[in-house]
Amino acid sequence: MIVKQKTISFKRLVATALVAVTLVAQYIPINTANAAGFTGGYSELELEHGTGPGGGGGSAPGAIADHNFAFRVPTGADIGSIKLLYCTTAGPANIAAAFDSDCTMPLLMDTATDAPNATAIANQSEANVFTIAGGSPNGTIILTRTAANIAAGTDVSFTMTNITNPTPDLETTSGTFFVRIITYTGTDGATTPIDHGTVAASVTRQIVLTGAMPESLVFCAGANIDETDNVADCRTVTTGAISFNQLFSPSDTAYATSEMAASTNAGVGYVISVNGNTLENGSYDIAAMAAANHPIRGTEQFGLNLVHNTGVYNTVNYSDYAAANGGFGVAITDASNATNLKGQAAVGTYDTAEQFKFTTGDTVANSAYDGTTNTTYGPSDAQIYTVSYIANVTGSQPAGTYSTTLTYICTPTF
Amino acid sequence: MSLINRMFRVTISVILLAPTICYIFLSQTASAATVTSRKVTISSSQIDGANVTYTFSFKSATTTAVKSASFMPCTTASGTCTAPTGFLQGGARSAITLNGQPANLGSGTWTIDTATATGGLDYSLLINNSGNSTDQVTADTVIVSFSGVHNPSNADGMTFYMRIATYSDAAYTNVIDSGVTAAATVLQIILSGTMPESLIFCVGDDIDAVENVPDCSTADSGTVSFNQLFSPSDTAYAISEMAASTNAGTGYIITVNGNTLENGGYSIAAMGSTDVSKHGVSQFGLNLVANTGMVPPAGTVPYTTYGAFGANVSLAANGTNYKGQPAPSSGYDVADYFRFVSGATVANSAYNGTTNDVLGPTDGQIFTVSYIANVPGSLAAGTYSTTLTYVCTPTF
Repeated sequence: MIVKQKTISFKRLVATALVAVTLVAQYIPINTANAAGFTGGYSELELEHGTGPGGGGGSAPGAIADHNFAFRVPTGADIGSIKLLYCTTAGPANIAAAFDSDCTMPLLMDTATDAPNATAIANQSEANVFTIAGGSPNGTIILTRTAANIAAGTDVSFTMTNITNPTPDLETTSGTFFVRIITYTGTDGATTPIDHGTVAASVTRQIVLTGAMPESLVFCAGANIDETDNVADCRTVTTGAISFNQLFSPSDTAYATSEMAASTNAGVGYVISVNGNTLENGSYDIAAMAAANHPIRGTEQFGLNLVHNTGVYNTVNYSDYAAANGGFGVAITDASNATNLKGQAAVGTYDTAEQFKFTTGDTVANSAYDGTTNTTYGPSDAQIYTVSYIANVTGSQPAGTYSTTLTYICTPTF
Repeated sequence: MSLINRMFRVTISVILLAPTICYIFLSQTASAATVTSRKVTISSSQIDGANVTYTFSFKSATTTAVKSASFMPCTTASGTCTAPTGFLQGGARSAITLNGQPANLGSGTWTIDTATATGGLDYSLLINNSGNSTDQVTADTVIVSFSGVHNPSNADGMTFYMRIATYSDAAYTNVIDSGVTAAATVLQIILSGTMPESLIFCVGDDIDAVENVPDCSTADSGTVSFNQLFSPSDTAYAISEMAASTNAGTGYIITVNGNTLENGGYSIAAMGSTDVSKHGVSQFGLNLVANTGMVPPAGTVPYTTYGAFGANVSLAANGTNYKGQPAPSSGYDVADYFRFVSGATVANSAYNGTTNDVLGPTDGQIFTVSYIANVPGSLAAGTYSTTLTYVCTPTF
């Protein structure tokens, strides 16, 4: 019966191990417990990130970890050795039995001092240092030295490095294990025990978190797009129907603005083109500005740009309202920085204040800002463009409502 | 115990079979490389837009000859593919055409496949060319263009993904290369503005044209003085300007309103009928043309020492967008002839190059009004003035 139970445990072990090897280790906070025999309320075992499988996660099952011990000596005495006994229980079931009896070593742990993961002692608080006595079975560590006095109340600490954590079946059992600590006057880890206590720790499952970033393009256009927490948010886009700020007039320039936002992780970035007709009213229209030019009152002009405009050109107001109210249009926001923000108005065409143009199919923006040549296409985080439109009319422009439907197309190249 | 044993056996079985299962599912892509420099250019990002052209561009990663290719629309870049709502209007591919032969995709003739309808390919854009045996050149850019595609119909617009795959067989089975690209439908900008009934009219002693367009914001004071003191032996003149434009369907007319030059109980006689300038005669009149300063018709005797004055309408009427003119045969449209009758029409927008009686809308033009004053030797000394009001009336 006992043999069969061991077989089942092995199967569990195999299954668990196969799962565990797929996990990526991460550091899990320490688990501590007070020792029974050490008075003063101070003793602990900390599992520290070490090296080895899964990145050596401190509490990872099977990880090569460093075990930091600390306890306060209750009895002042000459101490020649300390025994560390790794067990699945805190003490013997029979409290009358020897403290180091009835100990089952946690599954698959390794405290051996041989290669490749040789357990060693480090970071000792005692000037008269301990060394590891040879010949101890796996799961038992005897620290020895020439006996020297440790006063009552002294805090003793040291680190056992390169210990292979237990690998219990976490589906069915706790990951908690215990280390029974016994001090001796003798140097052999057996002669004349002085104090004893238990510390506990636990190995736990590691969280293996995985996510995939696919090819990404986020693009929207509308009358208004807001930022949420300083990030352009296409969920806030409002209707694409926009109107000019005033009735058309041969003696003043009318303007309007729309917005669009774009981001992509495409390696070669994106280009945005504008597509559509000029402003039309039946058979009447307002001439598109085929070449970039400043607004001229009293002439037929329909154009756009993607920058901030003052409403003044060459000291002359072309839009009285804009000139009196700080202009219109906004520079791209957030401003490009050639690293994660690379959006820009198309250089040489739609990027100059007070200069407007409209040719269907034109590229009006791209993600090629590099701070110098601005021709280096690349991925970019989200930025909001404000498109500024102007309309000028002649005195004879027939009355009526003029409109156009503009389609912006963003094309990323992966 | 038996339960644990079964679990163990199942666990081991799954682990042992996993590579096989994975191979079966991934056999199409296990060896596929990723096409580079890939993009899809759509001719319209209109939501639910019809007859859109999708042009795919990419570079092959593998030199193997391609016999078929698929372009699968999905709502996600990876994982199970769900077709974007409305794409191809629910799967109807009959309207789609191959927009010319693909570039750099082997040899022979590629045809569009609208029949294959299995596992996501039913809503994909498919082409095949079973006869192609020409290896791909990885440096070359492959271009495949489809016309007649219907965009996704998501009302808020959406980003959707086109999963590109090339195959070494004509049945879309053995993947050579693959890759994902993205496009987005967005709200269209519907930009509207209204041109109202318009009349721009201004008067002053001077009006400038800004970039060849009369600009009423430049109109100066309406206070105008004659060029010299009145004299029975010389004609004094003065000029003022006015600018007008309207989109009124039947154009505008401009009248002049006011009295003749007066000084208390004295006045200078208005020219009730059109006449030339005559020294020593009480005359106050005006016209809207350039004057030579010479007595017509011979034009050899000056009537004003300072010569020519006034100007024709600017910009010159052309019968299309510039139609302003001094009222024809009104007495205000002939050089060196003047007249002043309060309430008379002095200008209109009826120039058509022939009859000049077709009133219509016109862009801004500047009229220069020339005034002359002649006085008899007995005219009482003093300052003579008048306030003239020009009225522009458009008819819409």
